Amino acid sequence: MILRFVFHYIWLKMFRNQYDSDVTVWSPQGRLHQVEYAIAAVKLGTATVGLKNNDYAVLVALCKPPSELSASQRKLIPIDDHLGISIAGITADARVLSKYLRSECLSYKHSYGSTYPVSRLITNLGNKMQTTTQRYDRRPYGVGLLIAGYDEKGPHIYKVEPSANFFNCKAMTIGSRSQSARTYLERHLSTFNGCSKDDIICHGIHAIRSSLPNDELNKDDGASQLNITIAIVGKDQPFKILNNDENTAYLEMAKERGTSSMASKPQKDDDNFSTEDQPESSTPRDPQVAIGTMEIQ
Amino acid sequence: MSRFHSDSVTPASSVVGVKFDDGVMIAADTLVVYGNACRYQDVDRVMRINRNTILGGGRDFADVQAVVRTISHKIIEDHCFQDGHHLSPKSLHSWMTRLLYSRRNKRDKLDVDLVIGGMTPNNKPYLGYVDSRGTALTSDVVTTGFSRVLVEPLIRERQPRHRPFTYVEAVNALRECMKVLFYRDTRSIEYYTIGVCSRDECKIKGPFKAKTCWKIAELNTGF
Repeated sequence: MILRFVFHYIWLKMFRNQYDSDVTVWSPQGRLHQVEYAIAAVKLGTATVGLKNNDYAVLVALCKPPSELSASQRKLIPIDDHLGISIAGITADARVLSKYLRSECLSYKHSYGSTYPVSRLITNLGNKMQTTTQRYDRRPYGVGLLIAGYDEKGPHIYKVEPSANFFNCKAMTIGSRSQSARTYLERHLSTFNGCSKDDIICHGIHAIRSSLPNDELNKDDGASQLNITIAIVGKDQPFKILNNDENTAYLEMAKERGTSSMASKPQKDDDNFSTEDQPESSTPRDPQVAIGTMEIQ
Repeated sequence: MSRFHSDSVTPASSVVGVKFDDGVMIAADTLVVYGNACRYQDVDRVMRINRNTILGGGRDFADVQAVVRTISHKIIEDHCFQDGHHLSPKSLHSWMTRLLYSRRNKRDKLDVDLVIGGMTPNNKPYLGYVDSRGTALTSDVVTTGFSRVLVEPLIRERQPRHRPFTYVEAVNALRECMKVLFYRDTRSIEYYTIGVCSRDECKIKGPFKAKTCWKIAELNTGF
């Protein structure tokens, strides 16, 4: 009797509830738990920030090496001259997606002699990712992407989730401890459009600074030791990942400019997936997307 | 998929395109021939593709119509996206080149001469040519078929140095061309249409009638 109880208890601990073993199974609340778990995988990756002004789109990524001995994971991946991505989550899945994006861009360029319009490429990617949320023999891609692109409609920042949802954003962050970066971006959102190129990069650096873990934040003497990568794309500017010298120059610039209204301590951590104890009640939906998104044009 | 080279059943004649300061113009007569008969005399061979692009088609007109049908599917796709991106003449030209070249390599040619023109997204006039072999070129003056021999020198003669045609100059040049083509090309008629694609408008105008004078025919005696 006790053995059965123990066994049942262990079984319950393995599966949070009985509707989450397959992506093709709906929960009674109308949720696909596997897709939501995939979204949680994005929060395991280090933070990355995307923002834009009238002419440029910028990506800033925080690089944390998995150990002292290894180099940090590549977070920024160039796709084409007019487009690049920043990833958070399972790097292997990101590799597959970036290979697909590169192939699509090249194929479009070959056929039409011009660069793939960013919104259409994202729709294409979203459609590809959606099939993995509807087939029993596939799993969702466990990686979130921030796309920075520039086409004839101007600069774009897109966020793509493992659920195959994509959002056209004015500015966005993904990854672990990204909520504080998002708060910084929300606070300064109205100033971005009129910013210069240098200013927008500095904003990105300040935003990502707030995603550092608490102890590093206190140690950090104002952004000069941050291990980050920066990429920029825009008018007369093909997608470019800044090299070490340029990185250092911008870090110095950000340090000098300082920031008047940065978040002094990180907000409540949004890392923990909080349906552990209450499979029945609905958790508040992540609010971050609504603030920075743009109308569908 | 090999096939004997077969002559087109319903061929059409030349197409002429010129760039002017604000846009492009494409002219073609309104005839499609069946055998030796001038059977279809009211055919618009210059077509509006979208707000920025016009296309003129020569040679086998059935193939031109097939091509235009495929292109209109693409335009419908563009409408469905509803994202403000429209097929630009450069993209259409590039795509048609790839299509025609790949058909040529499969030994299943689309027997067409296409003149594609319009305004690029940064408001510059664009004029291109692509044929059934997949040869593609862009130029200020583009001619197909007989017009290459008969009228291209005429237009080049009238072309001002160091500046493009004005609208009026371009119209007059085309008028002259269509006249000469009617005089000299046996598979042509005097009615023609001109497609204009500029910053202000994208329209097919016509049909116009070439002003010809056949008084000289009286002197043609002795046989």
